Formats: sequence, structure tokens, C-alpha cells
Amino acid sequence: MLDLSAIIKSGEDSGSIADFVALGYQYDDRYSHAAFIIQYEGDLIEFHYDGFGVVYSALLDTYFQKITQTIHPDEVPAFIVYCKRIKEKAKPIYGYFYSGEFYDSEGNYLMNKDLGERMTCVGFCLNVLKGFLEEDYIDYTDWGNETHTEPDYLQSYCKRHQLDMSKVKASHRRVTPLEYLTSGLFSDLPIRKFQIDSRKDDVKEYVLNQLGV
Amino acid sequence: MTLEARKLELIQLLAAEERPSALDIVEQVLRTDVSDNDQQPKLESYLKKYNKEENLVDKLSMTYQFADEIFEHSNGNTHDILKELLLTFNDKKFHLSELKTLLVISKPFKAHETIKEARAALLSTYQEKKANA
Repeated sequence: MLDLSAIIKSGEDSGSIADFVALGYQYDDRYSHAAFIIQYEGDLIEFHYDGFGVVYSALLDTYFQKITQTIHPDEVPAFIVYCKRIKEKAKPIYGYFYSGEFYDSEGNYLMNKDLGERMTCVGFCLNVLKGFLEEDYIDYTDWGNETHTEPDYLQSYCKRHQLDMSKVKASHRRVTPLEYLTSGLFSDLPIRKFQIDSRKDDVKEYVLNQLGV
Repeated sequence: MTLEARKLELIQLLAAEERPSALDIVEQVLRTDVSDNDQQPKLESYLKKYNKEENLVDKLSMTYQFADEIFEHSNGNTHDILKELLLTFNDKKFHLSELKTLLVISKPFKAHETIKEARAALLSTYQEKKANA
């Protein structure tokens, strides 16, 4: 059984740990969000897409975090420079889409041309991981359009953004911030949805307990 | 000036700085099969600056900047220069982040005929170093 105690609150508990890249998760009744929390030479950094733009800054918010075992402490400098490159060039647009795109070393988004740079906060983090790691981080094909509960989302989104639904439908999926945090419990890549499903309720309960909810 | 003469000059320049790691880097360059010499002065200049820089994050940023240059002004020999870079850094004496950065830069081209062998060799070195880190 994977130990959930490795999920901690950012900033409060990580002071004595060496350099790391962690998967961060924020949650309240109306909102959940995903980010990277990076510790390098004692500084804590958050790197994420907040729905408006890409943020690379000193850690300001509190996240629940799980250090990913896929990035070695000695690789943190390389990850930081890669994130800064993405920060310079990335122009994401919010939408429930992901189909294995990634940011290359120039910060360019290698994408489905019909879709453009459309993603969620989790999609952004997955794109970053995919560009940095040799192997795919998750097997995204495990996720389908059933992964969100908003009715007619694709239809109304495509109408609003003048997209051809037939060309972007295959990329329509959502990986949730909770699934993103839960993925941090695994290190053999690519991580499969059934693995995450097997632990995400435990992770949710653990987070809620920590929040005193 | 011939390529060999330019390399010799670079060795002398770096040797004068009494930096053994610089000599190691030049030795790597000399072992490399250079198929197009247009970018050689830029590579030499980059390696010289790289070796002088001590901050790891700044060193890695320099590698990205050099990659930008070769992608923007390559005259069709981008992959040759990239291959040269991969061969130059294929040594366990480099920091894991230095190896990783070259792997990230070259990832979109990993199946390209010119670089795939050099990249696979660097990947092997990286994996070995990471396993023992």
C-alpha cells in the first residue's frame, strides 16, 4: 500500500527536504487546481497555468503536494530552466482538452493544429512533464470525455471558440487535479488511469481530513 | 584558418585558463565527426563561455541559447550541430542536469537519422548516472 503521509502541505513541512519537484493540488468547495511546487537551494517556487496565463513565482499559495519520483533532485536545475523557457513562450487557452501534446525545449507547443494550445491546469502540467521526461507520464488514452460532468461542454465550447467539433473531439478529455496529485504516488511510467482510480478516493479523504472537513 | 588550426587555437586558449574541465570538453569536440564547419566558431565560443560560467542554472540557460542560435541560423545543418553537442556532453563527469538538458533539447528530434545514435548514447550515460546518483 502506498503511503499517503508523503502528501504534505507545501511550505509548512518541506523545509528539511532536498531539492525536489512536487505535484501540487489546491482544493475547496468550489475550486481545485494543479501546479508544480519546486524547491531549489532552499527557495520554493510555484509553476502553473492559472487559466489566464503561466505563472512562475515564489510560492505564494498553499498546496497539498507529493514529490514526484520521476524527477531526481539533481535534475531540478534542468527542470527550472525548462520551466522558464515555457514561461517565456507559452500562451495556453483554457479548455478540457488533452491528447499527449507537449512543450519542447523552446517552449513551443507541439500540438493538434485544429485545437491550438488549449488545456486545463492539469493538461498544462502534463504537457510540461511530457516534454521533460523520456517516457510519457500518463497513458492519456485511458481518459475519455466522460471525465467531466458538464453537459454539452464540447458542443458549446466549439461554438464559442469557432472550432470544428469533429476535428477536436478526439482530444476532448479532462484529467482532474485530484488525479494529478494521486499520480504522484506512482513512478513506473506511463501511469495508468486504473492505478490512479485505485487510490484517488483515499487521497481525497486524506486531504479532506488534513483540511478538517 | 583550417578547422584543425582553429581547434588547436581553442585548446591553447582554454589551456591558458588552466581549466582541466575545459580541456576535457575540447577533447570531446576533437573526437567528434564534424560534417559542416559553419557553426564551429559558434560552438567554440559557446563552450568557452560555458566553461567559464560557474552557476549551473546559468550554464543550462546558455545551452538553450546556443540551441536557439543553431536552430535559427543553421543553414540546414541543425542536426549535425545538435549531434556534435550530444557527443560533446556524453560523459558522466557532467552534472545530471547538464545531460538532462541536452536530452530535453533533442527530444523532438530523437528519431532523426543524424542524431538518434548520439542521443541514445547520451541517454544511456544519463540513465547510468541517474541510477548511481
